[in-house]
Amino acid sequence: MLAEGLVDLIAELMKGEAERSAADVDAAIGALCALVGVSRAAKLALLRCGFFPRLLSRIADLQGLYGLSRRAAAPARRRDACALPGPAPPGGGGEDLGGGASLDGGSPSADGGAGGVPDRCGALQRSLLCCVRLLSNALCGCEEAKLAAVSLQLPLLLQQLWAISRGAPALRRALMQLLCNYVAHCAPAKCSLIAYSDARGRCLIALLVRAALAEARPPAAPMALPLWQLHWRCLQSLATAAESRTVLLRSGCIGAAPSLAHRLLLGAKERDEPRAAAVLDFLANLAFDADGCTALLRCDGAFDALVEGLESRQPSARYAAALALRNVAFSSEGKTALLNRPRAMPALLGGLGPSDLRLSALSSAALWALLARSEKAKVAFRRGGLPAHRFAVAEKELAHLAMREPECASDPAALRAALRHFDAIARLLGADPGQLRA
Amino acid sequence: MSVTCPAGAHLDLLLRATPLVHALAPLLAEPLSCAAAAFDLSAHGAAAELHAIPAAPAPPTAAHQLRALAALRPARPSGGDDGAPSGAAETRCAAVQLWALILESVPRLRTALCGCVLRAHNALPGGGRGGGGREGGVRWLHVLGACLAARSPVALRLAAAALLLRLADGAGAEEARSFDEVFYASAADAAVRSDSGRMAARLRALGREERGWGWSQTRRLAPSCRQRSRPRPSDRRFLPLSGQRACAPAPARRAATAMAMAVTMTLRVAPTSAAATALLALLRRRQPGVMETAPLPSRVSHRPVQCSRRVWSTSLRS
Repeated sequence: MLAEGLVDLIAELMKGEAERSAADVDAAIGALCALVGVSRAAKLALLRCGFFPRLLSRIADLQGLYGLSRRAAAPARRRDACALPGPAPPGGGGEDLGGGASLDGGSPSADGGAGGVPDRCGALQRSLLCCVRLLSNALCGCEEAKLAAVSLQLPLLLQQLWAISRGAPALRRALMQLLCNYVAHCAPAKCSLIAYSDARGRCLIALLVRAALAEARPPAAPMALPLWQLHWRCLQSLATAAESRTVLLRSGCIGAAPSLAHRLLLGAKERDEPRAAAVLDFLANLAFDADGCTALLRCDGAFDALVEGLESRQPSARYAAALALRNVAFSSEGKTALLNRPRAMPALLGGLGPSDLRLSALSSAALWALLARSEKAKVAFRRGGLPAHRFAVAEKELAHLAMREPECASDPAALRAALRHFDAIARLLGADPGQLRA
Repeated sequence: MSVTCPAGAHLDLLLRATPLVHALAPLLAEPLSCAAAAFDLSAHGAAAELHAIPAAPAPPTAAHQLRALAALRPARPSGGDDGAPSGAAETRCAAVQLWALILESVPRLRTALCGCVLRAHNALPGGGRGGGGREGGVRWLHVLGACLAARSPVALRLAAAALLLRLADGAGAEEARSFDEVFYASAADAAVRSDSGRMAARLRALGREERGWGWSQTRRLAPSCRQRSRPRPSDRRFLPLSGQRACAPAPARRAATAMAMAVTMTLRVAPTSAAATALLALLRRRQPGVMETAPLPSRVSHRPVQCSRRVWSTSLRS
């Protein structure tokens, strides 16, 4: 009833031709956006009342109008720049037509003559952002909505939005959120991105890879961290489906990601561990399936990048690296790589302690995967006295923590998972878990 | 619409806001009847009540503002096609704006509002028809949904959308559950209504067809359906959501509107603890306990669809 009422209100306002109704439509769409963000029933109600086709056609209309007004604004800006050399007038220059700043306060127009076009451009962008956010919220966690979007050819619209959001960071960010929500946990949505390509034959995944791997030229600032994370989260989702993984492999993303992670973890100038964590998350998802794992291990320096991630100071990078090593350890090639690298085993054993329970759970899972179905790994584990000793010490500390304060630990679920993994490892090694603890 | 107030006063208002909200909750539901019942408003009742606030607890400025605001008489707009609210809708619009303001000042009230269930009352929108209240009450959110309905003026619907934005933006899991429950309850109501409407249409069609060969057959086939598909005059539960509902006299409505606007503007202009205290004192004076959170006994269902298939098949045969 709430959603239907808002949909009716939006439809009624969109019929109005007064200028005020545009702001009213945005307000109503904002309310609907907030509602579908919290209520799954509201999403289903939108689907039921056939709102999705109308929303997509409105986005298409708005992006067409926005593109036209941006093209109209560009010569005006150039004329202004020729007429007034020197510093740009406040609020009138640069790329602020599409920027986030104009969204918040609404930048005043530079002058009376050229002021109309930027104002209209800003208003159109605001309306477009409202609609994109609404669609993003509606798709989030709703499989039915994603399938409806697939049938409505959403990727085609996303490609147009991608082209138009160049130079408009706020719009690009909203678009990336929409893309992330669209492809998350939905194989048809991932496949649908491959089905449409632009005039140069590039699908949206190829465009995404190009943007994620592009290096900023020195005068230009690098991509903002939230936008970077959104790019890599989207790639992370795409890495779990076979079709999209093929495109990733073809576009060179899988080959370039390990070296990028290595540079971000250890580079002298471009060291940035939060960014590296996003890339490592992508590698972890990539390693989940056998073909992705094989492709990853064939890349030069990929395994070293994972080990470096495990030794990083950034917790999120450590978690991602431990998860990737766990996924890698399931394959025979991964087991061999883990046993042959001298730094790998100590790095894994170093994460077993109770200081970070989540890392302990992930590292013990990696160790369990390594020892399972591998006599060679068991022999190597037993032969070196240090690994077994460190394992036993970590196990005792965790068991002590569980007995002392089982629910007061920072992450009780991680503590339980870690103990479960330790028990499994002990059984694999032929020891009684209780005896080990004693 | 932003409220600026000293930190101490804001905190004080925050602490006192829950009883204030409980006292004001029915204003959105039916400002007219609830406010009239609560305050026994006459033509100038609101103004009289506000003038009667003792000056002692409130600083002179707040009392002065209250008196000035109480003297405000809202201009009565024409209403109708231009989308402006009129009459009861104007009152409800003022109440919705008041709620938006209260929620902006005190965001933690979101949980209380989302879970709030009003006593089942025929005068409430959706009050006698299931109305989203499974236990016999009416959910406050359902009442807000009624403000968004297509028959309401655009201004009221926009105000309700703004309030909904404040409610849903940043809501947690508990509030999200409340929203979902409203949707499910509304869907159930809609199913009942559509069944009932379909039933009535079939009966009308059947009646038209059967008139050709006699009324007796119709009467023999579905007498109970004919009775149940129409609202009985004595049964107020079948009254429509608005429009045909009996309205209180215009002076009382204007007074209730003035009351809601006074509270709104007081909170907007002077969100001080003294103003909140004065309003609380005013609202508590004759608070009849309109709002309830405990479930009430469920009412008799009016689902009249048991014999619809038989009637339809008979119609096909004929």
